[in-house]
Amino acid sequence: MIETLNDLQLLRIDGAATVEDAELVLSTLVAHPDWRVDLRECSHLHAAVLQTLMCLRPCLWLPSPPSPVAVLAKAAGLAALADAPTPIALDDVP
Amino acid sequence: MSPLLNQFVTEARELLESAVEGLLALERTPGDSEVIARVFRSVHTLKGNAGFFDFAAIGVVVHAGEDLLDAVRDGALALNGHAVDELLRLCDLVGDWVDEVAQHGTLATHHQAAATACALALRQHLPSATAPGTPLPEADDGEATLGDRAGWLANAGAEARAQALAAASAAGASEVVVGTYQPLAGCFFSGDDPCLTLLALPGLLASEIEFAQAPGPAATFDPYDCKLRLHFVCAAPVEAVAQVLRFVPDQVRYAVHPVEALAPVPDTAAQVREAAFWRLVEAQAACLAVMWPAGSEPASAMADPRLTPLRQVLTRALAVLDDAERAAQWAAVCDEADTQGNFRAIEQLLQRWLLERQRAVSVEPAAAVAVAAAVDPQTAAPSSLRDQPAAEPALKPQATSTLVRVEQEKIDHLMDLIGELVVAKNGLPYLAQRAARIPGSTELVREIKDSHAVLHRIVQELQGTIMQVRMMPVSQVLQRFPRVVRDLARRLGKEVELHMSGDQTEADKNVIEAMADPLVHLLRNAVDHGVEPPEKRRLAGKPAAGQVHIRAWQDSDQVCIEIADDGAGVDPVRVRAKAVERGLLGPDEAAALPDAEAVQLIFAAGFSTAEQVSDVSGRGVGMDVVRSSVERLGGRVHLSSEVGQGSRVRLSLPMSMAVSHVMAFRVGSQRFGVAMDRVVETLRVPADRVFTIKQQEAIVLRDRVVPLHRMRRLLGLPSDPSSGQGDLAVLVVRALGEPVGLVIDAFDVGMETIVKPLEGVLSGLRALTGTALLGDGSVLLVVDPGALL
Repeated sequence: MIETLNDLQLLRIDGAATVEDAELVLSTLVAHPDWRVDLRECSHLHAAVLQTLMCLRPCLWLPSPPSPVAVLAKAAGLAALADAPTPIALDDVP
Repeated sequence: MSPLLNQFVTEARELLESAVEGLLALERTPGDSEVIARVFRSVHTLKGNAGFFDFAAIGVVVHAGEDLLDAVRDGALALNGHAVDELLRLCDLVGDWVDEVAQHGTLATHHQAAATACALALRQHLPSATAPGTPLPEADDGEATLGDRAGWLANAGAEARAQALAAASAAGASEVVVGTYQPLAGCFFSGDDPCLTLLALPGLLASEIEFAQAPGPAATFDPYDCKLRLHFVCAAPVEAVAQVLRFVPDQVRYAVHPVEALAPVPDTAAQVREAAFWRLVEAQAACLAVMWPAGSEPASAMADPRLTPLRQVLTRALAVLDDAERAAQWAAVCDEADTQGNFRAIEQLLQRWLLERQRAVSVEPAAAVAVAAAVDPQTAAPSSLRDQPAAEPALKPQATSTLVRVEQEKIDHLMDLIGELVVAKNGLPYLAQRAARIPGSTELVREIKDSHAVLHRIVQELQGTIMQVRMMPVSQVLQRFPRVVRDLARRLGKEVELHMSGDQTEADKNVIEAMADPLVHLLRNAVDHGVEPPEKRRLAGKPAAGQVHIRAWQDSDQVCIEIADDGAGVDPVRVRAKAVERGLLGPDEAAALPDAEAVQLIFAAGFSTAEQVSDVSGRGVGMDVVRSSVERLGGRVHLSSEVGQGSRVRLSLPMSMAVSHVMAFRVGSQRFGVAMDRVVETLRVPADRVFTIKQQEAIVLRDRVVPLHRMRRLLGLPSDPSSGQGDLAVLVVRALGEPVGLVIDAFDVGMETIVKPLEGVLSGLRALTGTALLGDGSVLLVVDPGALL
C-alpha cells in the first residue's frame, strides 16, 4: 500500500510494492523530486518500482538488512544516496 | 482435466495448425506481411495461453519463436529455409507437448532441456542487436575465468568481489554460481518480477542491479519497460539455481566457478585514484545535503567555514587526476559562490557530475542496445506498445463472432436423440394403421397422419441441420498436406509442387477424420514412388518439379478425393510379375488381366513394388491398408495409371456415415438388411439355371461365374421347403472384392436408417455390422456379407 503524506513530504510504502504501484511512485516523485520515500515497513519491491526508484534516486529510508528490501536496495546501490534522517516514530505519522 | 485446460489444448492445436500453414505459405512467398502477421499472432496468442499454466517448456520455446517472428515482422530479419525449419520444429515440439498435456493434464519437467535447446536454435537466427536477451555474455564452459567474461564481477571492482568472497567463505562454499539475468523489456506484462526471481535464488551471496540501458530523464521514464540487468553470486548447487530460473532460461547466463575466482583483481593505480575521487564527490554531496538541507537558506555561504576545506579537497583531487575540464568547472562555481553567494551552484555541479558518471557507467555495457535503438526506433520501443496492435486483431474475431465451441460427444448425443426421434416418428403410421381398424375412427386416423406429416417435416429439418453441424470441409485434413509434402520432398531430395482444389468440399467429421491416414499414405506414395528425382524428370522432358494434385469434390451423396501425380506411374508389367512372384496370382491369370485391372493389384495384401524399401513408404502394407480402411468407411478406392505419365488414386466415400442406405430382405420370418453400397444388383434366377461346381452352387451372370450362397444355411436357419422350384431371389453383393450371390427368401424395401454398431457382448458378432430400429419397433439386423461367408 502506498501513502502520500503531503505534510511530511513523504511517500510511504507499506507491505509489498506491486507492479501497479510503480506508476504512482513515478508520478509522485516527478511532481515532488525532494520528497523522501519511506520503505521501512515495505516487505518487497517489485522490479518496476525498484527501477523507478533507481531512476529518480530519492532519499530513502530503508529497513534493516535481513529484509529483502534492504537486499534489493543494496544490490541496486540505492543505499548510497540515502541520507540518514532522524527516524520519525511511525506513530507520529498521521 | 479442467475446462480451461481443455480449451487451451483445443486452441493450441488450432493455433499451431494455422502457424504451420502460414510458415509454409511464407516459404513460397517470403515477406508477405499479412501472413507474417498471422503467424506472429498465432504464436503470440499461444504464448499468452500457455502463460496461464505451469508449462515452462512451452512458454520458453514459443517466446523464442515469437521474438524471431517479431524480428521478421519488423523487417530486421529475412526468413530463410533454416529459420522456417526451426519454427516448424517448434510447432512439432509444442504439438507433442500439447498432446502430452491433453493426455496427462501436465507437462513433464524433463522437456526443459529440449525447450532451451530449441529456443537457443531459434535465437541464433536473430540479429543480435534486436534480440532483447542477447547482450548477455555467451554461456560459459566453466573453464573461463571470471575476468575473461564480460560478467559483472570484472566490472564491479574490488568491493563487490571482496564482499561476495567474504560471504562465500562465511557460507563455507567451495564453488559458486555466478550469473547475469537480463529480463526482457516487456517482462512485467507477462507477470515476471525479476526482483522476486533474484531473491528466490538459493544461497544468494551478493547481487547487483543496474540499468542495462540509460533510463533517460525522469519525466519520460517508463516504469513498465524493464531496463534492469541483475547479477548474482550464489553458493548453491547449479541445479537449484536452474530450478529457480527455469522460466527465464533464455534471459540468464550463469556458470559454476571455484570460490577463489572471486578474489579481487588488483585495480590499476589510475582506477584506484578515479574511484577515490568519486567517493570524495559522493561524500561532498552528502555533506552539502546535510549542511544546507533543501529549502533552507544559509545565512552566508561565504562565511561558512566548512566550505573552505571542501573546496580544497576537490581542487587537489582534480589536480592529482589531471582533469583540467572538471577543475575549471569547479573553480568557476567556487568563484561564483564566493562573489555572488550562489552556493547552490556547487551542490548542483556535484550532482551533475555524479549523474554523468552514473550514466557513463551504465551506458557502456549497453552500447549495443543503445545503437540498436538509434538505428531502429521501433525495435527499442517498449514491447508493450508493439504487442498491443498484434493482440487486438487476434481478439477481435472472438469479440464479434457468434461461434460456439461444442464437444463432439454432445453433437453425437444429439444425433442419437434425433435418431430415436426418427424411430418414434416412424411409429405413427403403424399407429394410424391400427386405429384405422377401429370402426368410426376415420377422423382420428386423419389427425394422426397430419401430425405425422408435421413431425416428419420437423425431424427431416432437424436431421439435415445436425448433419450440417457435423459437416467439415476436407481442408481440415488437407491443410496438413503441404507440410507433409514439403518435408518429404526435402528428405528425398525431390522437387514437388502440391496443388489443392475443392478443399471446401464438405463431409461428415468422422469421415474426414477417418480419411486422414489413408490420404497421407497415398500422398507419401505419390511423392516417394511416383515423382522421380529431378534429373530423371529432366531426361524424360518433364519439369524438374513434380506436380501433385489433390482434388476434392462432391458426387451426389459421396465425397471424392483424388490424388494425382505426374510421376513414373505404375508399371502393369512389373505389377504382374510381382503379383506372380508373391503368389497372389498364377502366371496365366496375370497375363490375362487387362492393364487397368492389373494395376489394381497393388491394393492386394502383401504387395509392394518399391524396389527399395525406404523409411517413408513401402513396407508392403501401405496400399492394402488404404483399401481396407476406405472400405471400412463404406468407400471405394480406384487407381488409374499410365506408365511415364503418372497415376491417380481416387477415393470415394459416403459423405455422412450417420444415415445409411440399407437394402432390406427377408429370410424366413426375419428381416435383415445389407448396406446399399455393397449391393451390385438384385436378380430373380430360375432354379434350373443354378449349376454346381463340386460343392459350390453358382450362376452365370453376363458371362461370368458368380458363386451362390444360401442365406438360410449361412444363418443356420432350416432350409425352405419351397426352394428348388420357381425363381430364386438372388441378391448380388460385393464381398472381398468379388461379386457373390446370396439366395434370400424375398426382397424388401430400400430404406434410410441410422445403423448403430453392436455393443457389449454382441460386438463380437462379426457377421453383423449393426442394428437399426424400425418404425414399427422391430430391429433390423444389418449383415456384413464379407464376414458372413
